[in-house]
Amino acid sequence: MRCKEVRSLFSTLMDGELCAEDKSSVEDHLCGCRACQAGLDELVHSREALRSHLSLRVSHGFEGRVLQAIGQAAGESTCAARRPMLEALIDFMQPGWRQIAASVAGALLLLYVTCAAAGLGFGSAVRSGRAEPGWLPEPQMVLEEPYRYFWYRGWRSDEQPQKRTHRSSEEIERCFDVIFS
Amino acid sequence: MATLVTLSERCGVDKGHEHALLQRCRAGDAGAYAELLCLYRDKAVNLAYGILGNPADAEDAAQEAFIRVFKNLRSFRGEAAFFSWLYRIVVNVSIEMLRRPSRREVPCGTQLHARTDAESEETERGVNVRSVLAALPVHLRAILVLREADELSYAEIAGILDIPLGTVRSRLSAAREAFRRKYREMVG
Repeated sequence: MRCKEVRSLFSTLMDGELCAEDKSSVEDHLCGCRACQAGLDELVHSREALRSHLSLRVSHGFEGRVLQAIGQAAGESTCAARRPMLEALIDFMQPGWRQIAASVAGALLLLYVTCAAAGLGFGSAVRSGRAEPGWLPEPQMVLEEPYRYFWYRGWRSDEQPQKRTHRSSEEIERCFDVIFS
Repeated sequence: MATLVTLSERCGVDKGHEHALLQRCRAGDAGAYAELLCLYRDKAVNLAYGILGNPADAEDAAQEAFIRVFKNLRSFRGEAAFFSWLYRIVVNVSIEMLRRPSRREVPCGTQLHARTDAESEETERGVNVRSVLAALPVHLRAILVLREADELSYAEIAGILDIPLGTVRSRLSAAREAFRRKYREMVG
């Protein structure tokens, strides 16, 4: 073994984690190399210095402070559990998330109003006899089943309603063309 | 190879007793938590002190770590040793504190109380050791303290720092060499 290789094993040797074969090789080398032996002695000396100055006396009253802090933390978590869910949700939502949620809600509302203003029908409900032409569904109904209420304007009043419950993909595409054109 | 003796055993903590303590803590027994705190208080504070180099910050970090332990005790399933879990939290909290801009910067010597002349040399040596330790990168400092202060096995250190065994070996060697070099520069 060369000196550099031997020195790289000093740390493991000091910890007694070196395998028997490597340990024997290192010890053989150390017998004939004063420089490496001095290097190992210095490493051991610095470790002893470190070990003897690593302890700190914990200040009086440390446990009391920790237990008090834990008591406060426990009280806060209990209070938090009792708060209404909505309030907790608002607290949880960071300002960034609030802005995103508000933007999404605004966009949905705008879409709904635009559809209504453009006369986009809600043919399914009309055809099924649940409503008269010109009827507007509640926003909650649109949110729950948006595909049911977006429909082509012609079906609302001018054309004969057809008894269909499913739309073809072409019809759906045409519908979105109208909405977003 | 060195015989594996866990920190709990070295602290004189019976594993069954510790398990029972943890169960009582989960059930909300404040006395059990106080007992657990007494068992690991010194170790936690000293580990944080080794990383932070400041007694006040070390106690703050240990306090924060114990609070996190309390909050997450129900999620601790006991697959790893309790001290290993606690130590990982202490190390993480200490590293977080090092990154805080508002951290107290106290020179290593100033926190020591006035001592007699007979103690002055020992005090000076302690200040030097602290200064050298503080000059090391935090990852070297952490591994050095885990090994030298608590004599943890390589496997225990690997579990706490979440690094492979080979990395423990090489990082510890680098940490010792860096400490030796800086210590020699300081004390001559």
